[in-house]
Amino acid sequence: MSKVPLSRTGDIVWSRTPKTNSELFTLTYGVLVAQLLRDFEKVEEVNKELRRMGRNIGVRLIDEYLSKVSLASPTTPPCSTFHQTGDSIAKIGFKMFLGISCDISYPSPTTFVLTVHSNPLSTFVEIPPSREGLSYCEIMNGVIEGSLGAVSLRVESRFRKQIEKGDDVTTIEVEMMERIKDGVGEGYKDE
Amino acid sequence: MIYSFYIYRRDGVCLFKTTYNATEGDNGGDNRGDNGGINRGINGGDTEAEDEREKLVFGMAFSLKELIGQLSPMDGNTQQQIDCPLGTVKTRSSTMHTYETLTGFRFIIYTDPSINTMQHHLQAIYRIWVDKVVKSPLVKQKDGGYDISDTEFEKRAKEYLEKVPGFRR
Amino acid sequence: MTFLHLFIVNKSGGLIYSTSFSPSSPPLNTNDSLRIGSTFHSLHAIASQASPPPSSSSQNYPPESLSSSSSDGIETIEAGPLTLRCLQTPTGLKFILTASSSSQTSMKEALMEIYAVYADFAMKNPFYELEMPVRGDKFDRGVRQAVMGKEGKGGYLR
Repeated sequence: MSKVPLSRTGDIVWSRTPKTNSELFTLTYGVLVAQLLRDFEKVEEVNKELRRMGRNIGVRLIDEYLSKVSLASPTTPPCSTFHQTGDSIAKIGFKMFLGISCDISYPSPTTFVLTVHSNPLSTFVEIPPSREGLSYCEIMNGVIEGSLGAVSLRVESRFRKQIEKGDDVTTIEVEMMERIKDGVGEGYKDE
Repeated sequence: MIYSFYIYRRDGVCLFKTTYNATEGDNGGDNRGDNGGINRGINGGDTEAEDEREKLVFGMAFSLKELIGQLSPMDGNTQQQIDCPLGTVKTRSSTMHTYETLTGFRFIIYTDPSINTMQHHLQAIYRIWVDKVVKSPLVKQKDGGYDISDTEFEKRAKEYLEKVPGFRR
Repeated sequence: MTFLHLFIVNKSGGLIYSTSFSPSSPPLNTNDSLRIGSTFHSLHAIASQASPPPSSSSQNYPPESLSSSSSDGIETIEAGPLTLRCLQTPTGLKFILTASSSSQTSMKEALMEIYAVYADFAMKNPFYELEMPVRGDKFDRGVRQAVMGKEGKGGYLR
């Protein structure tokens, strides 16, 4: 591990990131979810669409993350374990994109759990009983899956607790499924 | 640390190949003394992977030379491209040092990435090569290359390289 | 110190951006640039195989190292006055910068800034299609600023 703590790197990147009014951000996301509910009607479809949008965002944002972090902390080596990947997401990723940092725990070598104490996406949100199945922040799972997918880690990300459903914290469980092989695999080398 | 050493002719025929500081187990490399650490490529006895590597190394040096040729900067006065001879190619785990003579011999040495330049050592080895092989009346031609098995070249080259700082870690 | 060319190659070896910076950059047409991009892409892969010690796997990313053999490619080439430096990102992109009589440090810094420009004006541009050629004035300008900063004339980031 590098000498610079990850949370310090997160702070540096965050300080260099342009800021926007958090209410504008929260309201914009709210409008987006509301519009999707109007378009798709079924909450399952909305969840799926949010996750898909998140993946598309994640695939792009990973380059933002990698380039800005390497500028802020050129000596940080690439993650070498899945838990280090989790630490980096918790201490740098969440900080630079959402302005919050979260706690992390490791139930198994291929799993980590992120605990978010306040979620800027859902500051004003209470889910009405008629929309019970809605996973309001589902886009976050998509972002995590999309960004790690772009660095050849196939993961599954899901909520265990959600503040907007009455839990005291939001917890995200991320499990590693496999490493995606590079284009030039063993079969090619044999020829 | 020096890993390996190749000499190629203009057309890619490998004239000489040897490895130093071989890492077969941790104490294998150094204790094997004079014969053990050295494999001579031309006279056979090497694994298929080594033969494959020998081709890759030449192919890479050749293609990089072409690539460099296209990228070389222009001279402001003559509007001709400046000649840029390929020197070193660094990867995370090793550095390839190359020296190409005007007669088309390529001398290539692989070291660990901490060694920055070997150019003058490569030129010194070229001089040994000229003395011990090119000028030697005893060298036999074999398959269009030189058969250097009867010459002192290998011994002298090894003596020289062992004195290079950083030959062993 | 003069920067000569920048090439950006996507993870399948396709050229997505190329530009030249100086009157002393040798002229290259589109085909030349495309060929240089794909040639370098394959040489990058060959370099890790030709390298003598069988790739050491010191890291323990389960089930295998995150920095796999594909990331152990060409980092720098020095050929007389010409220097080439390649930055490969974990997402498989390669940024290739050439310069004459330049220091490796300033090239490394320039490449990292260019990567940031790419993240800003390509990846965060909603109209940019992934893996496709990058076009856009803002991107061009950012790249030029990043490079000029290293020649002592301003910079992309402050």
